[in-house]
Amino acid sequence: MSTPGDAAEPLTPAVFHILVALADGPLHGYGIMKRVEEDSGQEMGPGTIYGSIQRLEEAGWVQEDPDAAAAPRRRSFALTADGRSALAAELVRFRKLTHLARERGVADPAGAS
Amino acid sequence: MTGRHRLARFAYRLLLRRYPARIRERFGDDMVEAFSRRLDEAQQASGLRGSAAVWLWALRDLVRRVPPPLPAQRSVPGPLPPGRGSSGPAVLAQEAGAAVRRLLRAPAYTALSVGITTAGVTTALLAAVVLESYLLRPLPYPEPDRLVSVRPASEAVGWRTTRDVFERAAAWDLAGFTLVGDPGADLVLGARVSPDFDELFGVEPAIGRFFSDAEAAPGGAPVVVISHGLWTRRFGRDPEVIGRAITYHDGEANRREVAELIGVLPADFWHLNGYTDVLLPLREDAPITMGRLARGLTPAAARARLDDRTGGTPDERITLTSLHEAYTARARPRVLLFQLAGGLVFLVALVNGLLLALLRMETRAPETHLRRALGAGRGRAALGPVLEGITVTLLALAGGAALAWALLAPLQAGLAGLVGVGVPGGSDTLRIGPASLVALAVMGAALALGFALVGALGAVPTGSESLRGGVASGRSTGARRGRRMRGGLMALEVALSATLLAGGVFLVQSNRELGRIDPGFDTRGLEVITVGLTGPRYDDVGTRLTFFHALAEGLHRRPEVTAVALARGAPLTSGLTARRVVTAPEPGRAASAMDAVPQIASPELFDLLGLTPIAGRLRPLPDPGSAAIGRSVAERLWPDEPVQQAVGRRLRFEAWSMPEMTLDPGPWLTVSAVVPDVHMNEQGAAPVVYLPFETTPSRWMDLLIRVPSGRSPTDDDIRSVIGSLDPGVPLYSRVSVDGATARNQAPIRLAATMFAGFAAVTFALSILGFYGVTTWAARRNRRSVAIRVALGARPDRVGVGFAVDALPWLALGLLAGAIGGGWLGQILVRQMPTLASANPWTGLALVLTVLAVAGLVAVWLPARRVAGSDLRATLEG
Repeated sequence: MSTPGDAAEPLTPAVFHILVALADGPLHGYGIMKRVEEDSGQEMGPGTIYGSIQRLEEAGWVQEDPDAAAAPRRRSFALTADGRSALAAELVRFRKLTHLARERGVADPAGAS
Repeated sequence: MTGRHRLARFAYRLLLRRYPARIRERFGDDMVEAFSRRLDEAQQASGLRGSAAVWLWALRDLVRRVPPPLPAQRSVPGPLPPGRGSSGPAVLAQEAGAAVRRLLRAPAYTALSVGITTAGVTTALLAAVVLESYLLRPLPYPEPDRLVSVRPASEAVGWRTTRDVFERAAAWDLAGFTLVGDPGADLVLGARVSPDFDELFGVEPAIGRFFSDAEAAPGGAPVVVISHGLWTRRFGRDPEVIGRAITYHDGEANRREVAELIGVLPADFWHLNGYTDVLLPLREDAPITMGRLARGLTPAAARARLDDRTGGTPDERITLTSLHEAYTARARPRVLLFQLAGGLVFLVALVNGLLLALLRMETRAPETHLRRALGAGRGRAALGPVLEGITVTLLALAGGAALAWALLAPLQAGLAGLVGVGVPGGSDTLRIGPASLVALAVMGAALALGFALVGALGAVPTGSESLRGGVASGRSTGARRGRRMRGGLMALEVALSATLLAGGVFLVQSNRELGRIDPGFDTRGLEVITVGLTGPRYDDVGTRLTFFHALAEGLHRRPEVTAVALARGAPLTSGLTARRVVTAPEPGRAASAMDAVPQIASPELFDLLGLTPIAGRLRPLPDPGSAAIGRSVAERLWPDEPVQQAVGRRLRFEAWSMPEMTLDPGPWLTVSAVVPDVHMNEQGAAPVVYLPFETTPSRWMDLLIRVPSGRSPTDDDIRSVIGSLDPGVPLYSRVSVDGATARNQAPIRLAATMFAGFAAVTFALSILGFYGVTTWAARRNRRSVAIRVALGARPDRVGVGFAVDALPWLALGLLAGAIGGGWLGQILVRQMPTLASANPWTGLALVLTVLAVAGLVAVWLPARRVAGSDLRATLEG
């Protein structure tokens, strides 16, 4: 049985991390930068962040947070439903790969099921 | 902002030209701002080296290519990555398995949660079983909805003359019968019953048959039906007993009769009164007391027809009440009280279970938020906690049902004493029936709904930091809602606990006061043996005197017995009724009156009870027209004189209805002695007028014996003494005074134990709830606590701060508890009049104080502990 996520292309690390960072609620660019660092230890510069956000907005996965529109100095961004689904599809792909790796004898160091 | 920063911002803005115009124009300011903040942080942390690192980082970032465009549409796999299956049932099974595993991994939470909710379910289920058995289940008779009690008994409403109103009706004449012959005299309770009895109650004899019409008709053959108990006890279940002649003495008719035993009632036959050991046909028309209304006849129409017969005057107006209602009228308030107590315990357990679930949700908030972040909808995120709650609910329901089932037997033993009447249908019918199962289902639904609500609340994001397990902001709507919910639950818990505790303390207080009552005499080793003389032989007062004196001597000769006295009605064991006593008119003094208990007594009674006369003499035997009186009688009849002055004065009972000596008024009696008061019953010292046994020997007398060694003569020993005087005289009863006192106090003791148990459980639960919630809140706010302590606040003061935060909820709960406790106290006093001596308000004040102190300590202690822990690690972590 195929799942809808089968045909999806992998996300770039930057996009993936930004989506994860925004999963918990709207953040402004600098907030995303800090959150990605906390979550993954990856240091992304403003160019990567905003370049990715531009692409994410164009794809309809992220939108400017309408609640924060009154404060233009601190533009915030929020995940859309499509963005959330895209993130979930990526996780499906991760899970399959994890399962595959485990079946091929790669031990899971965390012991997670 | 420094000039160097301005320069850096300008330089960085120039570098941004590498980016496409649409990105630069839209986000340029934001990018410069982000760069500037990063530069600022780096400079503060590492000075010039930090600045250099940021510039390198920015340049590296510029070298990277702008990410490629993303597909406008990316396939959506559903709310969460499906694991082994994506269908609804598969997801549910997967989540249920995960919920069970999570519960197994948290044994402390699981045990506590299941334990608390099981306790609540057990208690409420037992209460529901009592409610169902007493008030909901119909009486075990055919067509019970048409059975009515007929009051008052009216000669105009006899069983022969009401065929147009009642399909079947029963009249009976209750009596005591003394069975004589082998294996000895046996006094049993029975009745003459109208011939409809068997069909009215749907009873088929176990062996033999019921009365035939010919036997029930005037002049019919003498026949008798006996109970299964008597058949077992006296005849060893011998089936050959049918057709045998039974000789008995009819106490009512005062003559010896013989009847043929024609039937034995079934073992499971239950009757509203216990007068069923011997049933004889009632041949003459007699007032009916219950019946089954004719089909299609409403109670109102039936009443109208009966009123026509009685004349319908207000005094004679017949009332028809459902037989079930009439039987359970006494029990109803106490059963409802039991229900209330059970319901309160369940509510407290429910609140605690929800509080625990809420705490667990909060501690698992980061996990929940991660799930939300990974795409789980609120429903899916709440599914796990809800399934955990349902698992706890199912365990609690199963455990509660099993525990309640196990506790039914001990409950049966004390229930009749507690509620005032036996279980309708017999104590075997105290079982978990359909209504109790509905109650169980309702409890399950309440628990499941509560857990679902908590799960839904936990699935709502309460702050951006939750994902990282950080400090809740406490300012978000979700956090406020959670805090209010916890506070409200705690207040509810305190209110319920206070209500039950007040009731429990009040009952325990009353029980202790009853136990402390000084009866006025030594009750140790004191037993009361009751003997009744039947038959024309004892019509003569002299024969009675001779018999009872000989019996007293015979008992006194037993080596175990040190003293014997004769009395009609012994203190603390009998329900003697007070009657109106008036003094004789004296010159210059109006007659005074009061209610006093008339007690027939031999002079030995005073020695046996250790009552030394305050004034006058008890020996030699007083004149027939004399009486000894208790101190309180002297004080009330002649209030302005010393009690010694009562000797020689005269009094009499206004209605002298002593057995076989009904006079109105009684003869004048001269006071021969004044003795100390004794307690005639558990309600206190009753004023007693002692009448000489020699002048008023009843057929029924109590023999008080003192057995100081604790080695009492057996019943057979006593029967042998009685039998040596007259084999036809049965031993009616034998009780110890201490035993009778304990039995009288048993309902209050049982109620006190029950309420105290309920109250102790709810108290422990509510304090545990306070402690748990504060521990959780303090841990959640560990960082802010740490900052406050780092800024100089003492851990004690932090604890006080938490206590102050909890105060409004605690106060609200205490206020509601005070109202509830006062209300419960009033109900208890109404239902158990012997409690009136205790003061419900003292207990309530004590309960509120203890709850307030315990509640504040339960809040202060965990907050202080958190404030005193390793906060450096907290701040650094």
